[in-house]
Amino acid sequence: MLYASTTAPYAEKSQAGFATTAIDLKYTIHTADFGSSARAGTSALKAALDAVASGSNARVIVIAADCPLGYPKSDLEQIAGDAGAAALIAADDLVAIYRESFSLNNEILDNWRNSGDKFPHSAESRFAKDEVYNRAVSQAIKGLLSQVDLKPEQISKLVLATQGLRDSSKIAKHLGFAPERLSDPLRLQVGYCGAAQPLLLLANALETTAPGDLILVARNLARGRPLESYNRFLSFRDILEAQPGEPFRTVPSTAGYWRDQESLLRFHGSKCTKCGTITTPMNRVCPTCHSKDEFETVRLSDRKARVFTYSIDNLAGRSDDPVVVQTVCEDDEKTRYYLLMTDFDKDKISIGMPVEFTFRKVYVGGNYINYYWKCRPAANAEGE
Amino acid sequence: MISLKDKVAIVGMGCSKFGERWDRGVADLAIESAYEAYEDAGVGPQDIEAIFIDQMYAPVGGLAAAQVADALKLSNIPLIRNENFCTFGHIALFEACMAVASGAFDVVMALGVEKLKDTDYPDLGAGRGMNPVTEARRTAPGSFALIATRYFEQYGLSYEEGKQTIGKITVKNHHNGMFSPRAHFHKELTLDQVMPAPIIATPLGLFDCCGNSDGSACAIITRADNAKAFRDDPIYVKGLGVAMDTMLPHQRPGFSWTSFDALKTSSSKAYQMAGIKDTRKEIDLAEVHDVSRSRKC
Repeated sequence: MLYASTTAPYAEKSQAGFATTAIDLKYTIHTADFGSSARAGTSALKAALDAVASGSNARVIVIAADCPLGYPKSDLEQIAGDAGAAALIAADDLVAIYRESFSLNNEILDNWRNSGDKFPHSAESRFAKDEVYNRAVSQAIKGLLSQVDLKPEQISKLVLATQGLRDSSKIAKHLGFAPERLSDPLRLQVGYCGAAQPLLLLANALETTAPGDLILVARNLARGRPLESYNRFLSFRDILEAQPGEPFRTVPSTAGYWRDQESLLRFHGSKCTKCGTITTPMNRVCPTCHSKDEFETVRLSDRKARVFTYSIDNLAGRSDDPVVVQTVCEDDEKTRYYLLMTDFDKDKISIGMPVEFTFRKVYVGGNYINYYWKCRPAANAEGE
Repeated sequence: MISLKDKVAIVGMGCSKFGERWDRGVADLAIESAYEAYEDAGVGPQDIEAIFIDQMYAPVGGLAAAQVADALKLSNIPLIRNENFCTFGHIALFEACMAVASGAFDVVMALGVEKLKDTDYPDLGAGRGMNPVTEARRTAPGSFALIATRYFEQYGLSYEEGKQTIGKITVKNHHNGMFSPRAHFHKELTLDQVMPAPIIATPLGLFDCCGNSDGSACAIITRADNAKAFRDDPIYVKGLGVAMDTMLPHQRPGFSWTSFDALKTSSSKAYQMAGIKDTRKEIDLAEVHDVSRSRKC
């Protein structure tokens, strides 16, 4: 499992290991982190392709995720979007075949963040983009085309990940690609999303491509709740400081978090092998028949459930997000879940409402981020 | 369990003023109730053979009982604390009665004290459960509101109807508070004041949730056969029942959220012990714990 990001939650700590646990992969896989530049996404992709091609690994998943953060009111802030994308690389059962790659290294200070900086700096765009970066991308594309002996008109889709709004169309035009061959850069829906961008755009291109098409990559939209104000965005990103002093009575523990990871991160429940009762978080003693240590673990993260009861607490959250919805929900097997709800419209919560589960940051406590699962209104009314 | 009926008696009670006692600490509150109880029972610190103390939140190092015993300078006797949230005062009394009934002690003290207003938390704070991650935002109003929401659903009440029902209990409770000189609130309320009050956690509004009070209460307990030596009108314990449910009924399949087995079990045990058959005829006064109105439904 290869994980790429320039804005991962921790400056030092394995994110790949964490993501592997959250998506419930087995313990015995190789994990590695890619970072430092937005090229981490394609770097990880290339590493995965090489690993599979060499026979070193049979299946590699590449995840790239970024939440690019610009100075308040900066251009970057306005064009940036948060995204994550994943690609599964293997030798069989394919949806797309990898043909060739071409790399070009170009030392330049175009976008950089000094150690300890919150926001990235960038060089004058006429220099960094027009003169150097866009030209380098063009060279890379030309190099690849010549390597595989193809012409622009033979390429069905060109996936171009660039930071600027118009850079991709400029480059495509310059190289002689017809405008309709340029894959939708998802500017309006997502925006510039760093290391995630090439994988996201590739995924989008694959979804809209016919068999036999040739795709060239030079470098699933989540649902959310619109923020009601720019101030809320600033405080969620820790740019505006929220009023401190959250009234927590319980103290998190790194050892406890590690011990409980199967419940907390993988969202496994315990299913009693004597009576079938499922509980989450996992229980060693069955609440129904009192069997001790007679359980198997079951994965609950993909399940759907319905709200059994709930409360909308106007004071329980952080000062910049005070409304907390405690939810008790129930799935088709009558398993009960006690979770916080997220992405809700507080006027549309009701008993019986379909919900699904989503992995979220709960709060920062003990100087680290406590993640757990929340429920959210299901994607459609049937909860399918 | 042995029957406690007429085996133990309360011979002295003390109670502090409840409220936002900014000028009084845990020690002061405990002294206030303990010394009133001593006086009421006609005893002194030297007569106490064991003390059952309860303080749920002990902001200083988690030391609850030790803090109180030190303030009262009660030493060289057993000091026992429990941790049963809103019932800990009852449990202290239960423990004290059991200890006397067993013959281990003749005169014991049960004391409950809570100093919430030193820690500045609205409604006792969030994260009141047992796990810092899965119960990070668990609050008292938010938790008890889960009951109200389900209650409305089960009994077919609209939100407005349900809220009115809860509001009427609030009005009645505030009225009853007027009779107690040491109650936190002395204010009559009307339904018109209760209904539009700001919502704390749907459907519970400001007046539907208990205030955060500082206060203390104390009882001196002795053997029933020796009670008259202390006073002519001791209170004989007729029945006690205690039952613990779970902190997490949330994960129990089939749990209704409108009825708690422990409530039925504890009260029926007490009735059985006391020989009460018809509660409506035989019980003159019921004091029902009520941190949020939804629990009283």
